[in-house]
Amino acid sequence: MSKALFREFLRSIRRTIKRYLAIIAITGLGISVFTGVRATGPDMEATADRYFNDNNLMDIRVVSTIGLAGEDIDTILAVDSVEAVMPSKFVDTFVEKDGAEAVGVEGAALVCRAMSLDFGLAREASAGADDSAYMNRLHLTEGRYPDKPGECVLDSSEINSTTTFEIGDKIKLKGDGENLGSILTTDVFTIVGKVETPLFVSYERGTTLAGGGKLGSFIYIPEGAFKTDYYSEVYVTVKGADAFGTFTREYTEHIKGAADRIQAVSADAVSRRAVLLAAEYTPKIEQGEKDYAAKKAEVDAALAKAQEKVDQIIYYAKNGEAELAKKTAEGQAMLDAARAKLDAAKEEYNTGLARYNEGIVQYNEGKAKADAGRPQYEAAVAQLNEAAQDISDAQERINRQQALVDSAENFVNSADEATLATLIANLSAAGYETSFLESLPLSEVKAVISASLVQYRRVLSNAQEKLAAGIAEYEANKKKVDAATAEYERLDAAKAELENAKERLSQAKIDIALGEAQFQVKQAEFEFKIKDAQRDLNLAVANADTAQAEFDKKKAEALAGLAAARLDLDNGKKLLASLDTASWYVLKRSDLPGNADYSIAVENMDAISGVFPVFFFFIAAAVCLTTMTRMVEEERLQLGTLKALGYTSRAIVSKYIFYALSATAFGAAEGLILGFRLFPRAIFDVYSIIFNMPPILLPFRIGDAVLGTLLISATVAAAAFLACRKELLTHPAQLMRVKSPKPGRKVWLERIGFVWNRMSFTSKVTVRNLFRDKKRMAVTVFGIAGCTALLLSAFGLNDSVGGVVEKQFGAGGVSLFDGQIALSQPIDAGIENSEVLGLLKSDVRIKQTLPVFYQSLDAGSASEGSERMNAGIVVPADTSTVSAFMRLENRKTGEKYQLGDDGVLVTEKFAAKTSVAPGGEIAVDTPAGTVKLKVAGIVENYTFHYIYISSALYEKAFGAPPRYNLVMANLADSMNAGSAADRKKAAADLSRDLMNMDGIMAVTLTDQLIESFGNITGSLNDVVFIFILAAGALAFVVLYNLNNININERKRELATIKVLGFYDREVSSYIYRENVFLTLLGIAIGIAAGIFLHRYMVAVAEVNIVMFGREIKPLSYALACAITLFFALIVNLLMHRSLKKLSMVESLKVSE
Amino acid sequence: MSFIEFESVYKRYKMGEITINAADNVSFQAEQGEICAVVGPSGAGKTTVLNILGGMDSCDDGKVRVGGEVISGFKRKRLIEYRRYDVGFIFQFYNLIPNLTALENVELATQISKKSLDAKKVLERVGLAERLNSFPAQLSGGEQQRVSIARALAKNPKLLLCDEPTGALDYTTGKQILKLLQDTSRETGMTVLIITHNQAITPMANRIVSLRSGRVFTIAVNDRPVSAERIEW
Repeated sequence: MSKALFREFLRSIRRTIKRYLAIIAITGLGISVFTGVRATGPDMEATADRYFNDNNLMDIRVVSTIGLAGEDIDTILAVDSVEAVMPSKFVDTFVEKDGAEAVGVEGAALVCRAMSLDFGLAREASAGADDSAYMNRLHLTEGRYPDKPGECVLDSSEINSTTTFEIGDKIKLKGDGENLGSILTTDVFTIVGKVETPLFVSYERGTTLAGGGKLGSFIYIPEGAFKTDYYSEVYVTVKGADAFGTFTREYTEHIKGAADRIQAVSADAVSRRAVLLAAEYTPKIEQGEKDYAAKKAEVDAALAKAQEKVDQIIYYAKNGEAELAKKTAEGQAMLDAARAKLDAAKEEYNTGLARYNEGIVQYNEGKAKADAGRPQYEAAVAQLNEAAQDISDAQERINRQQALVDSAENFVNSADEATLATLIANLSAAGYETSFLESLPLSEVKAVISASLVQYRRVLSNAQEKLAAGIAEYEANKKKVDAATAEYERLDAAKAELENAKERLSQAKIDIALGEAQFQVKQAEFEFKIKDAQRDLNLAVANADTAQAEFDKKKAEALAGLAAARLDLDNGKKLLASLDTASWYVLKRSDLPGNADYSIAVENMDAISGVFPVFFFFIAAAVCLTTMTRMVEEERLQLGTLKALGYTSRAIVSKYIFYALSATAFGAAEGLILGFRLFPRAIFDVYSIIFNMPPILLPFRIGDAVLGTLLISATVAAAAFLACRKELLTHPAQLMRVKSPKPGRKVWLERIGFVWNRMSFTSKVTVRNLFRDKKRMAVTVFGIAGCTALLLSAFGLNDSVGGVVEKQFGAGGVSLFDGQIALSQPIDAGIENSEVLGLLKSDVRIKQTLPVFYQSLDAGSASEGSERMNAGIVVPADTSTVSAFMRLENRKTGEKYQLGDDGVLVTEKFAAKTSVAPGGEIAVDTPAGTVKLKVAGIVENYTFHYIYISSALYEKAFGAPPRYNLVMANLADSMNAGSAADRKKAAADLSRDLMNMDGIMAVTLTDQLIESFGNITGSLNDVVFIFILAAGALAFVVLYNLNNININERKRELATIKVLGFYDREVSSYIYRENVFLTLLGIAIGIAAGIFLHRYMVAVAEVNIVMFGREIKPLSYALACAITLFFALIVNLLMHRSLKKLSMVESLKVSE
Repeated sequence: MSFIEFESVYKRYKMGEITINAADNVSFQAEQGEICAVVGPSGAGKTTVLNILGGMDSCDDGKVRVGGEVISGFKRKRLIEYRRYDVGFIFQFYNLIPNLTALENVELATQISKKSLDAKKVLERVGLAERLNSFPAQLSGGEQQRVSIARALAKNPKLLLCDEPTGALDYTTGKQILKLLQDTSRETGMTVLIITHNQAITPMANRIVSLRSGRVFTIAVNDRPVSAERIEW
């Protein structure tokens, strides 16, 4: 390339910077998705591999039901290809912190596995030693390793526990059905550190016979903390296993050999140990039972005695109480009486006071009245006294005159003349007219005198009479006055009385006050006395309580000791009973909790990588290719000029190839840098929600990098070359001319007059434009369709994956049962007689049960040399109730199957994988040989493979009746009531209660299963979300690029209509219509393509044992369309801006 | 007041450190109904004048009045309206939309104009009654230019701007096109501004503005313009 040409090359980049950047972006996106997504699976695998190898993860784990003795370890070590062994002891326990039991996330007690470890090994390993006998190496995340038996390191993940633990916390272990006292030297441990171990790559900690059946956490404690002389398990590494990737078939096969050899030596080792144990335990238990009985009697007696004592104390305390109550009642009664008396006195006083006050009022009234009448009265008295004087005077006078008269009469009567004469003289002397008497005879005189005396007497009597009237009057007056006097006297008396009363009242008041004071004193005295008594009593009761508590404690201790002894005896008996059926379990890495999930995750990733990124990549490449072709076509004028100037075609072509290569190289570099880091890391981050792994390894994967870069660079460069060659083949003069724009042509639509004539002018223009450049139309539609297809398939995959759990276990799913209960002993004696079944049925929380024989066997099609797959043989005990526990239906035809005796039902994926159809035959490998079975139907199923066989057919085909080892259960409706937390709690309780029943080995509730499945598929959903983002980005870049090309090609046309005076929005809509049409068309085609792509992806992405849902939800269609439209909208908005900026002058100048 | 007034119009382009004056103090007038020819060699600033006058470009200084309105001060929207209703363009290379028939190309303009003429009639007037449904590629250069003129005329503009209308045409066709322009101007009183480097055209113009290096060199008024048929080159 000449210097001038190179400069021109740089300029052309600057001129077409948008396009150049678009190619870089699309290439980058394509390559990053291609390499990144494809690298994720291998990266995850490599990470696990490295993690396992670096930490010397065991290859095989041997667990024995009767423990492993030193000889057993030696036996295993001697097995061919065994590299090293690491025996370990463990016990599964509950945990108490600060006196409270730790609770797991399910709401049940947290079960923790305490495992032994020689921490010397761990410390040496930290110092750099690589001892092959130290396996599953720990990583301290904080703290330190234990130094003494009372210390432990704890699981660093507390995801399964609602109780949190800190370094320095003391935890107390509590056995579940085991006497920790005879297993551990201490049950209290101080947490001194937290660790991670490659044994657990996820939050799963495995299963246990303790508690609810699920392990939630683990601790490692020094070996010295164990009293036991045998091991619980032994970890084994196999020679040469490190050379294979842990998830590879080669590794599995390599390990299988060693595992089989260990299994082979197990029978002898087990029986050897069984004999020893029998010899050791039989007399031990015999003696133990005796000791226990003696101890129990002793304890019982001691307890009875102590109880008596305590009872006495309590009796006293109780008695005191009664007495106090009595005393209190008495005192209170007394007080009450005093109170009543006092109250009566008060009452009386109050009435007296009222009466007194009333008297005062009355007296005052009377007095006022009396005072007003007093002068009158006094006058009356004076008058009366006067009258009395008068009357007595008058009477006296009358009396005197009477006496005079009387004496006169006497005198007269007896008088002689002389006397008479004297008398007359006297009389005359007295002034009386006596002259007439002197002349008269005596008798006459006498008569006259008598007559005058009579006369006089009459006067006197008259006077007397008058006086009598006066007296009468006086008497009347006197009476009146007397009455008044009496009134006055009465008033005085009343007053005196009132005074009296007042005095009495004030005396009473004083008395009352006195009484009140006395009462208060009495009451205070009483209360004090009672309080005193109460205190005494409390003291007595407290003493009694203490005595009781002390007794209870002693009793509990004594009983606990007994219970522990009992447990030891029972467990010893159980051990003896189990010696006959004892065996070794030889487990592999894939049996480690979470390990298989991880490998499924890797498989999922690998499967998806085969489709999505490849498709993505091809769309990206196709778009770059078009962009390049267009560019060459646009620059034909320049091509012609250069050619005319004498540049060789080769030089000219090299400019474009260089353009293409440089753009794709930049894009590829960017894509590789981003891809290998971004996608594996992002996806791994998503998985790290469930997996606990070291940071992902991100090796540069040269194969994909080169492949991707070469593919896209070659494609784009080839496009540039072909386009140039086409142009350069034409004559330079012709090239120099403006490429005659494609001639307008009538489109076929115009021939349909009634449609065409009805279309608006602008619609006609749009249709013409659409049909004018079919190539561009095709590319745009292809790009949009590709993006929609990617989006739809990504959303669809989300639906399919997310739907698995729902379809298998959800309401209306395939598995209708609510739980599965694994039995430790199969029901052989007949279902009616089964104790366990009886127990389950009697639990009100369980509505319905179905005993099932379940066995996992290898099966395949009956044809020669067919591939075998692991499948579950399911033989229900009762075919009539099967429909309540599982839906046996064909997904496609909807046919409902009855489990008959003429053939078996196989699950859909199994049928598809083995290509067997109804009427065909399958073969099942049993230890005794291969059994062939006729297939009667294919049933819908999403996880794992199952072969459903009726019990009669099973017996006929396998030659033995099924031994029901599993019970499917439906729970009562009450278990589904209440809040989610309530249900969870109820489920956890049920789980725990069932696990506590004899004869039950494991309980799996469907809800719990859904949750653990949901975790894995949920994270796959998030991975799909990353794809959706990538597809969205691609959609955007593609649309933008295509629009850019479109505008560039039609600059002149657009400038012309701008010159004609089209408004900005009219100019935009001139192009919009085409875009909208092409976008809609693209979406329509994309949906069709997406359905196929989805179908393909689901088929490829499925892992062996899972069948994804086949449907795409309506929402996914809507979202795929909406996202594409959204990007189209944004691109159109951007286009509107660049159209606005499009310079008419510049665009029209080109031709000058 | 003249129909077109250019008043000290400047248009500068900055090329790095150098400033080029594409229009350097250009001032001239043209009256309504006149045919005004702007002549000059390549790079004299003819197209700049046309672009500014046509509302396709802005000037950096000075004033441009058309029909009394200062178009150099128009905002973007108003400028589009000015192009839409008041100006008709005729280009050297016709700039027809290749995908539309002759009739449709004209309709493209009449669609948006308020006082537009009937597209068919205008095409008949320019002598293309027979080629209404032909696509540009099926038409000769002269015919295409006629379509272009028809498209400009159909809008019934006040001002017709022609950029080298005969530049791509042969002698006879060129003359026919010029005749068409002259007739239109005479019949409708439309002001026509023709930009050309072809001095031979000047006799048919009422006014000849000669530009050199962005400056007005001479302005000549031709009281007796000749008929387009009679000019020769």
